[in-house]
Amino acid sequence: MMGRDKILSMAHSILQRAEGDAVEIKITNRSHALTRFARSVIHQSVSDQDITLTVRIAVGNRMGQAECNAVTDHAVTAVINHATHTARQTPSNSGPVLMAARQQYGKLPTFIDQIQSFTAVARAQAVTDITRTAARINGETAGAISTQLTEEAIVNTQGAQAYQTTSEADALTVLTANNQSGYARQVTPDPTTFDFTALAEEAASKCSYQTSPIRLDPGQYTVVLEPYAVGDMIMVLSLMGCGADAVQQDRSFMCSRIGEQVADQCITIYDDALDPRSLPAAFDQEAVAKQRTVLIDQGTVCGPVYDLATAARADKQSTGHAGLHGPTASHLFMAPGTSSVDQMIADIEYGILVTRFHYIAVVNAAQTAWSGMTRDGTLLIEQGRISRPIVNMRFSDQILSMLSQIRAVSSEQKLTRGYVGSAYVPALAIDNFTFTGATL
Amino acid sequence: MKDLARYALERATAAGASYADIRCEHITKQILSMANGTPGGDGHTDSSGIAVRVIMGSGWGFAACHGFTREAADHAVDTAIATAKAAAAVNSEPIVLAPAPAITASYRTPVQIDPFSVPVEDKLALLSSCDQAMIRDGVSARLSRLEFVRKDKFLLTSEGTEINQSIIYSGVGIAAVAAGGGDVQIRSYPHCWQNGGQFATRGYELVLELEPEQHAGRIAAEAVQLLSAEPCPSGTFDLILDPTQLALQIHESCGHPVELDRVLGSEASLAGTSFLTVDKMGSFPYGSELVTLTADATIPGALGTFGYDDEGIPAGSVTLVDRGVFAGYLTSRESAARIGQTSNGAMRADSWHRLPLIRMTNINLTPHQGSLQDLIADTPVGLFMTTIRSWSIDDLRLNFQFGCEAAYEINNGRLGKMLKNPTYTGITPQFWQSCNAVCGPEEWSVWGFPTCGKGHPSQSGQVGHGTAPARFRGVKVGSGS
Repeated sequence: MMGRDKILSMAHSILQRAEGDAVEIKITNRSHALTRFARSVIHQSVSDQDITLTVRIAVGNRMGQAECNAVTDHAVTAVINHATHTARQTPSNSGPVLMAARQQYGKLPTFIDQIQSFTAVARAQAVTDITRTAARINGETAGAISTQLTEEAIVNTQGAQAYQTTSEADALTVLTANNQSGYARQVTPDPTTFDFTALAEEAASKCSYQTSPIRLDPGQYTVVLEPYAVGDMIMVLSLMGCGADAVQQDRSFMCSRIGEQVADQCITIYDDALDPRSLPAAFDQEAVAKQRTVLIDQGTVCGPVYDLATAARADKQSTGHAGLHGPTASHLFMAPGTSSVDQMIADIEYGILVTRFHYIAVVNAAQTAWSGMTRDGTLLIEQGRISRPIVNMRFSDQILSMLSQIRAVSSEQKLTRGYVGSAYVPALAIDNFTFTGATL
Repeated sequence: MKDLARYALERATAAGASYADIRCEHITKQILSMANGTPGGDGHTDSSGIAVRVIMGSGWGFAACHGFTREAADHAVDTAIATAKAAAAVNSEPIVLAPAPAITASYRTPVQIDPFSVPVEDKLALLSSCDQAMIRDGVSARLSRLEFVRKDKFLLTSEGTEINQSIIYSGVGIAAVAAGGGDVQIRSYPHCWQNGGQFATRGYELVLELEPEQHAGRIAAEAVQLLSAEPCPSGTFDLILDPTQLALQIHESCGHPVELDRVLGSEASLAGTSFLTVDKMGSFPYGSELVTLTADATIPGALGTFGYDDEGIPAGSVTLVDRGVFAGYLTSRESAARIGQTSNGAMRADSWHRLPLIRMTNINLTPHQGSLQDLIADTPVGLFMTTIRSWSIDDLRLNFQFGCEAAYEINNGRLGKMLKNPTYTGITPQFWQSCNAVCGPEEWSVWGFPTCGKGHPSQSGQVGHGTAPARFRGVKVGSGS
């Protein structure tokens, strides 16, 4: 870690050297470590450190960008020259060059010491804890335990000055026993909150049945989706068109439906990067402060998230969601209900509990059509209780249709990690979920 | 690079590493894009660093640090040693590497036109031409993109291998998105937009030969046409896949399941394992007799072509499926030793800061005979599908569902009307066993996939797939709408 003063001083120094009608300097300093295990053996133990300098320079209303991973004099000169050269050869934008103005940012909790003290030895000990629990049911484990610490500084000629440190710790395991498998994952900005025994026990609870998995016919079933599956679902919904660029290009499910009821009233989905239950961030890639943005409120579409360019086109303010590939809702939340997973199961005569999804495909974004597999804990519900495991099944459905057939929403929520970032979500019970096949 | 690598290797072996390799790598990348006439914000990227991989006792350790300084080398070596020791404290099985000869060599991708020598202005002018040609009523998004990458790397191992490589690849893609009436359709050229187009270990000549500006108007018209096209019918059909779709089928249902690290469980918690378990090698009926699949890292210009893998094994060719029978894996030195073989050179990292993993090279379906026209004429009733749109496959690589940008009905041996939202699904060996025709060498082409995801943390591999069109009987087809 370089620290706020040093990294901002460096960014300002580079800003002084770059000439242009508008200039933005971004420095990202990142360290990452991961231990990966399979068959209860550590087969990968890695660590990497990188620093990235990104320079955006506007010449008139033409923009050039260049990036390198060094901050030496020579590297800085080269990256400024590349950005300037690109800007001069780029066709003019139809609108003005946009950069964030000076603004205030939310304060984030930091976990620098906690991340730095969670060393390779601690990760190896965690593997031992997980495999010991698995051994009690003669199970084998695979998984990964990782930490990441990132500090970012952005300054520009409009007066913006942003600095944040963000952290992420992630522990996941797949436990295999009795020809079944189970999954558990803990995602947190603070690794001291990990409970590896609980992690392994959660995975073990999904593969302790005494009967072999059975095959179910394709068809529509009432399902309980655990938070891992719900998290994937709303992250895919985000990809399907919760960014303003998708709406402006008529390829989002939100097009022409803002203000329309598209889901049950119990469904509220929003993005809030400042909520400490997420993986908090204070600002986006353009140094715009993150704003809580409601996407679907009690089943009604509210609108997308914006970056500077899409906001300007819509005559709105950026919501602070600039991402690498356009505005992205990446700190998702789904409002809780009043039920519980146990209650949902108890209320189902015949159905399926889905722990997680696997390899999801967006089949048709405008129609929210998606397909994928279940995995690591697909269990049959009969007469209000889990009866036995099921062979993994392929689903093909439409997310908005699913969100319109909600039986129950759990009060308990969980932070999940996936396609676009994170999602803090409850479990859902849903009627008429369509399965179209199964694996062998 | 070389002096620093030697310094790091000495430090690692002095610390007690029984094996060490040092990889110094500099990556230069240029991405230029345009969306609806507005240039994208990508640009030029330089990234360099040192990677250290060691074995200490029964543990692997890997660490990487940016820059080519002694401070970076010290940090990478010391961290790699520490992480290896931590792993060794848990592991009891010894690490065995299959033998490999020490090699001193160099390799450079042959290119006709260095893509970095072409002015940015010319590249942006090409994107503008494509963008203009896609302007049409009903087209809501016009997308175009160029990507050029050069990877210069030096590998030094404690077993005496020293290899310099300079690998260049280029990519070009355009797409038109049409929207209306609550429907969205896309047509891409030369390959699917999510893939970024077509990629090859070639220079700017790839872009010039593909002439995207000549195809932009056509794909825009097709995207709009798809809005009013009938949905693909559901049912069981004889299905002809063109190479821009069959490449994905090969990738997902053959390429990934023959990665031996995956078979042995290393990816179990993330992407899954494989139905092609070791006991099946040499006997399992993977496909029909027409199905021979190879991995060949030496095909000139193919994206998965290189000189040496990141363990210093020379690029080569291996048969994966021989006339329908599962025959072999993609391997590393460690995984090959587990099945009593030597490595066939598939270990590659996507950058200096990542660990090498078993990655596909160029996985190819061997051509047979006849043209696509002959094949369609030989099909009384069926469907022809083209270009990847969506893809999903289970964690054993058995149950798949793929969607295409467009389908065409086949009636009485002739292509009929265009159909939208086609999908097809199946079980991998059953699907390949249903293959009853593969076109000839004149229809064979190689398609590059630049962002094959694997590993944790995720890496983007550059792989290729050569294939001619092929026909599969009795495939379950549906509509993705």
